Amino acid sequence: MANENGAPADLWDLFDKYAEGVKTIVEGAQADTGQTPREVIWTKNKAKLYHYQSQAEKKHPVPVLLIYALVNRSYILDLIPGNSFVEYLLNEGFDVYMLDWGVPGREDKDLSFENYVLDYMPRAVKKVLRNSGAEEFTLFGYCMGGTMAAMYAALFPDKPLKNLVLLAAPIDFAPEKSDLYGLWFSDRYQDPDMIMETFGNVPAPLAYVGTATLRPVNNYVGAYVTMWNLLMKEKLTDGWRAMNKWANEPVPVPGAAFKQWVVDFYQQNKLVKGELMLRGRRVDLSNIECPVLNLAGEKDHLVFCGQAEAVMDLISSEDKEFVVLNAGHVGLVMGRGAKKDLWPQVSNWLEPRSE
Amino acid sequence: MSEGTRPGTDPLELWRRWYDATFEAWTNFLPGGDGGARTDPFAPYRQLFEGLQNEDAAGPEDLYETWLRWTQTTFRTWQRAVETGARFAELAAPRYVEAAGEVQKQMLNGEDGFPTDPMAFYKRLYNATSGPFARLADDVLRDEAYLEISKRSLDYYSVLDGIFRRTSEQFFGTLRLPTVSDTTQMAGLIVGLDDRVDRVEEMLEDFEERLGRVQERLEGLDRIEGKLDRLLAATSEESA
Repeated sequence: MANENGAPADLWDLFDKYAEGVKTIVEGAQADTGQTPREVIWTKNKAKLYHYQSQAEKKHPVPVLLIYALVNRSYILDLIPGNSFVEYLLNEGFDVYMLDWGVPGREDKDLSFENYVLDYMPRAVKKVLRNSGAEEFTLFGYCMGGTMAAMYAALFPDKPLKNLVLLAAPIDFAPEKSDLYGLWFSDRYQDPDMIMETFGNVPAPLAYVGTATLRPVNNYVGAYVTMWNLLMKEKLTDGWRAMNKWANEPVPVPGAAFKQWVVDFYQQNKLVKGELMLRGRRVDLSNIECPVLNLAGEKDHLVFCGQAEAVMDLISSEDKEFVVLNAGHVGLVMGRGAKKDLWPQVSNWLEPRSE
Repeated sequence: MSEGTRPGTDPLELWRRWYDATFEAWTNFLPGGDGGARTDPFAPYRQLFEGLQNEDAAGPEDLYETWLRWTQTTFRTWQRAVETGARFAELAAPRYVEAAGEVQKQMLNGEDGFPTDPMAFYKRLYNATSGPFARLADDVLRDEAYLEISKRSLDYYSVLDGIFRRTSEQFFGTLRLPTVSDTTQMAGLIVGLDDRVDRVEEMLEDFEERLGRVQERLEGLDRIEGKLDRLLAATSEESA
């Protein structure tokens, strides 16, 4: 059937889809992400502590504090309505908070894990407890945020920390367990001092390339094959748009934190050896005695199961569980698989421990 | 603009610094670069042009000599480039064969025959080739030659970027325009102030909490005092 201009309607439809595809490639996917209602209850520098609002009844008095990595944006945990881990927890009756690290500027190049774990996190915890009226809380760390959560738990193991959930959290950075990152970050091929001196912070595009290059065909080509496939079939899904937006929106990494990450973690593997010092305090994972749920993805190419599992032999918790799910790094926390696996796993584990 | 009023760095000086930085980058870029004796591939040209300026113009034998010297100077770099290319071809060859096999299987001998729909064609082509090329990419990313190249690339990019940043700072500084350092310093002061305010807030909150605990204890003492009063009253009544 022809349209008003006499050309086949399908042809115009094809042009529209083509234009949309090209626009998405050139400008990047647009999506409304992080839509769960929230209020900012505290800020420090670029960091914001969010308290999520929900109509659902609060069933569990122990609040949950979510911590994400310094790379990429934290709204991966609250991607879009219907595909949001935060939304799910709220609907299950949990009181949810998130510490968003924000986007560092050049003035933040000297921020290291000392600042994040010893200054930002304890302050955020106090704010969570004050705001919620609770005396204890659950700390949930994802990716590098999980490593930071483990460090916090080791340094502040007592009350008010009640539960610790680690999701794809690298603890052991031995080269044989770290695959490509272990190779790239070795002292033979990586000089973080040069990056810090030149750029201050690791530039966002460099951080993006460093992650995307782990799976270059999939990230640089496959994502757009999927895009064209979705477009030609019907339209781009909100999930694809949101995911693509997140993947292409990296943030700079503070230089000092990057240097510490490369040298202390990847090159010298200090955390697992018990040699990591933060402002003169030794990070001893054996100090952790609270209940721990540790989750990893079988298909995770960023944080391997061995890297995450290592913490289980180091902590002193009696109530601890290690779960491997059939998912990749991001698929662990969002998508169909996450709704079926991770989300209920976390909720069911937290429920009896949040009274 | 005359020499006397030209602001900022002399462009020739900037070019010379750029040339020095990039020269070393290009000659030592490839694996096996030993940073050996510095050779200047522009020297034969310079000598040729200087010769042209002289009364005796350069003849064909001079041009040939110039070309020969340029080739000898740059030969080592070309040799290393070819060796590196051969290394990557060695890695790529088996993956290309693998991809060709997959293409044949999925495109030509697939269940639905050869795809005529363009989208189906490219999708099937991607499905056939993405696996082998992903494995090729993985092989390359682990290869020592690639790792050395990428390290040098990053190092030289950092050096060049550093030169550009410092020169820009200097240039804009002489123009009395705000530079990145100025705004960073200003931002740092604001961050510092924010930190102090946050610490004061924390102290006040801690004080408020302690005050709250003291208040609770005082209320507790009041309740105990009340009980003692009642006890005394009851005891007095009994003794009476």
